[in-house]
Amino acid sequence: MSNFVWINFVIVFFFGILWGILELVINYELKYVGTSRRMRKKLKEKTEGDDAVLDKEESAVGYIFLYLLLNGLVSVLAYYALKFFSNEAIMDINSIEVPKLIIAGFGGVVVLRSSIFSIPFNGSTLEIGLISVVQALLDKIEKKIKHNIAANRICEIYEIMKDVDYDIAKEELPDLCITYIDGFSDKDSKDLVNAIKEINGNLSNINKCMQLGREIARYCDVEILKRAIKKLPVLKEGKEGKAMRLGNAQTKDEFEIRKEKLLR
Amino acid sequence: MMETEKRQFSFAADLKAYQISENAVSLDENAKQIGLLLDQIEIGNSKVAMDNLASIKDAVAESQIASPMNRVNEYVKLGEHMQFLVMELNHTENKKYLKQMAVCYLDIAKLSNDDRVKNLSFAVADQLIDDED
Repeated sequence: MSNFVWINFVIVFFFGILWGILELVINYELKYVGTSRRMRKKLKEKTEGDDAVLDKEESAVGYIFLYLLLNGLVSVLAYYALKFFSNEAIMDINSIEVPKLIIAGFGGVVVLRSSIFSIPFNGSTLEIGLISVVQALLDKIEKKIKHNIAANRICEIYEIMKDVDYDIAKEELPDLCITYIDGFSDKDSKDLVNAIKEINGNLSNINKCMQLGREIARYCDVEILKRAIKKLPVLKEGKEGKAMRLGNAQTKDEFEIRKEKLLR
Repeated sequence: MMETEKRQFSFAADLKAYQISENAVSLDENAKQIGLLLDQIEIGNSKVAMDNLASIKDAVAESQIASPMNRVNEYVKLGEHMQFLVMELNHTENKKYLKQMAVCYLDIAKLSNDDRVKNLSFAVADQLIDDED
């Protein structure tokens, strides 16, 4: 058995894997999966590990590995089948068989995503074939990735908004952030105002701030939100924030002072 | 106007409109109160006072049916005419009604959260307070 046997099988295996990676990148923005652990570690350090969400690992890495392995194996099987049905000796390969590798690679991709027939089931269509296995894995990956994104988003938004005063932020922050958003339309403006309107005023300050942050982050990058807050220390519960609120209180008092004088 | 400024303006206007619509009931109550107080005022033969009084009544009526942003414009009109009315009738027996109207207008200014209305309300109130001091 020459080394070319292994080389051909490895090439076709990686062909399948590459196809799987491509599909994941296109569908699920793999960057979230890749940065998941790093981001969690960073956030865990910041929050001193007291965040329950961070402790619950919701990693999609296992499913992704399984999915990629399946892609690779099916391509290998397709190559094996191609050789077998061509009546060629499997162990007698003396070169890199580029055309056969390409056919096997694509063949594996097609077989893995094919269904023999479909039947209606519970209001949806159930595909009978390998596509069901692929779809089940992809659904699981999607769910995990979405959970990861949500968990990371909560932690990120919490870190950004934790010291912010909601009453000041709801007026100052969206106004500043939208300056940096390209293509912020009138409809977006109305939607954002409606979303702010929907925030329940009876909730705690941090809850309201996190909801506000999430709504703004729908339109601009979280980094913009973070930097906007940095550049507006008045939003924070620090000395300046208090001074600002005192300023507002004084303005409010001016109404009351005048009313008292008028009613005297 | 640059695109960014337009967007900011649009958003600020939407946010303000939302705040005004949220306070609409209280704003209307105060405006109605001003309307009722106007009926108590005796203007005699002063044409200027008569015109201003009619304009205030119009502004009060319009403010109750206008959209949130037009509502603010009506409050501005109301404030401007109130200033003239106060100037005209400040030293008469109508002062107690004017003072109550100024109180209502201060509430409107507070609830509408608009700088123009706030400045006008302060000007009207200060006019009535200063004359007393």
